[in-house]
Amino acid sequence: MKQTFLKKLTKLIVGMILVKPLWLPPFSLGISFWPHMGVSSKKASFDELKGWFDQGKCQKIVRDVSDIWLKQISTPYQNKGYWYLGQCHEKLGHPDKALATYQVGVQLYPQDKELLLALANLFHRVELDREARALFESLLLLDPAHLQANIGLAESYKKLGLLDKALIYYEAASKILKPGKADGNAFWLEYADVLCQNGQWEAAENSIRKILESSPNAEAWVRLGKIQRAQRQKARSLESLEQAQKLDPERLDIQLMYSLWLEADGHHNRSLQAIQAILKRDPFNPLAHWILAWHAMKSGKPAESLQKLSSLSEQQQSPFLAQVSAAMKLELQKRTLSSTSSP
Amino acid sequence: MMHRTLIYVLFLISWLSHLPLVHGTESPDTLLRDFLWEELAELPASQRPKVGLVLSGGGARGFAHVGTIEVLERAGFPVDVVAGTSIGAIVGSMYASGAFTAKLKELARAARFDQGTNLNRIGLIRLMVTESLLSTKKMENYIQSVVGNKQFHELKKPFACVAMDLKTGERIIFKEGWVAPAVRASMNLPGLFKPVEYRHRYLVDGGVVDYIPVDAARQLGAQYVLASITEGDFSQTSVTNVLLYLQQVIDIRGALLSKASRESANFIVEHAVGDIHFHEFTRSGEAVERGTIATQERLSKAKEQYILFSMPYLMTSWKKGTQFDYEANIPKKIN
Repeated sequence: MKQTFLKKLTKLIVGMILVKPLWLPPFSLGISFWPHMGVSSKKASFDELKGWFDQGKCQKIVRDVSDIWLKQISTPYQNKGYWYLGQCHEKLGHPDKALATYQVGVQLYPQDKELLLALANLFHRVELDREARALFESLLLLDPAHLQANIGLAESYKKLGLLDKALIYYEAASKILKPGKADGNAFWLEYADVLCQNGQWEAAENSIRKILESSPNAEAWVRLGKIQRAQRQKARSLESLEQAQKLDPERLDIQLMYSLWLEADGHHNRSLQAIQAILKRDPFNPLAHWILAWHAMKSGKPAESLQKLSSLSEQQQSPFLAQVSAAMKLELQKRTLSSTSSP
Repeated sequence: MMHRTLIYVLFLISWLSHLPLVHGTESPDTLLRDFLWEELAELPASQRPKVGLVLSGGGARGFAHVGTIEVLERAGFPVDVVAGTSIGAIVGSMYASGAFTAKLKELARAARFDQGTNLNRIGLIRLMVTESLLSTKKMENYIQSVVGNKQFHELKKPFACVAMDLKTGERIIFKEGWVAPAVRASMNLPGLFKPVEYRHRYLVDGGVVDYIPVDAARQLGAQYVLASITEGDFSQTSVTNVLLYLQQVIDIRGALLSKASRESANFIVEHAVGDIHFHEFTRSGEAVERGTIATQERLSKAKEQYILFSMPYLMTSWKKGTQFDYEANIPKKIN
């Protein structure tokens, strides 16, 4: 009985293989109408995917392009397919899905530079620089003159605090980067930052002045101001921030920095004016209120200062500011108490 | 599979913590921290809390301390006194003598386990056959070659190191006298090296009694103690030879001892060097790098904590030049 069953099963399988041309097309057609599979009855086209990407149809790509769909694409283009899908996930604000896509892509195509770069940049953006570093290093093994990889590795080393190594790759990138390119400004600013951190003030300042000569921008003036401040050139640092404000009057952080420096340098009236301007735009800005509390404390108005510090210590928007306010409040209360209780 | 899952989880956490940052702008917390750090940096040393840097034991792992020193120096983090045990004593004495970070890194890269000892084939055979322990005499010469033939008071920063008296079990804190023999005593591994006979005591590695010498730093006058810790991960060590057996015992003892020290330090930087064995000096460069990375990660927090600790001093400095004169309320220095 068992043998008869086995014979029948074998005949069935052989028969199905022989008559495959008869049952396979209808079966495939049936599957293609299954909405969640997304597999076309015709051979998947890379050109379709490319077309959707070029038209910015990221929603369509993430909805319709699955892993199975990608595997249908013929091999020379499959790696690009993973890249497109990953890019779409990123554009739609799903970096976790982008991560998964790139990781699969890199596993399948470990020498694909675009996929390696995309994954490395993703890790770098969220400050997982140990992982980013390894990927940038792999990319540089494949292509030592890869500009983005040199820059990426330099930035990862910078984030990790390995400035000696960061400088090596910044210097390598600086030789590849074409001078005068506007989008190289961010690079030169970061390079200057590393030089600063390494105590190479003059080189850092020269680097920033080059940017200011070719394409002045607010951030460059801010960095210059910080360098000058670190070297105790207080008046010049304030002038640099004034220049930065002219170029980007919308940036609140520059105005706050300016106000802090003015207050620290004893320009109380100018600082208060700057704070009032900030509060018109952002009435609840915690740092603006902290500067007012600080000013009140120094001006001999402890009650006013304590009131502001109390509410600042309870806000949750800026945790460190809250801790500083709480510490100042405690100290001010002790001092006010001891000064009133002394004979 | 576990590694990929961990990466994914780390990625999600990291991504969520970076929402929503506007490119090119600094947060109020960053602005305030940087500003208060500058204010603190302008205070003379006598008008801010004294900072003690404490360097734990850990053999080759301890080269991570060089990374810590590098990051702190670069950030302008003040270090007023230094205390160390074992490898922490070696690195600490060099740092306190004024050696630049570049020099420390160079020394770390060139370091060997048998450096300053007679740990070689003949020495090991003699140890096995005659039970005659090895000597660390050459370590004194090595320390002198880097630090100089100096006494503690001649160093650029006050320094202390810890050893143990083998006969009494006492913790001995060296703060005066000749530096080289004290440091040698602090790193003198029991069971492998002969005790160091110094000042009528038989001294061995301080890591046996004080792995993280916070007390030693406090005795030097430190009010704020930043501890750099290089503990081994003894749960992952396979004990396959005598050296690893010794390491395991010291690591377990160190972990038990360090609990109280951790609680008494103001801030801790813990290095991910548990997989480096104490005799793996070939990985010293790796240890330095990991030390740099771990300290860099903790730097912002370290600055914030020191700023908060220094608030009374900052407020005193702010009152100067103003008409309103508050009562000063500086905390007393800890003896």
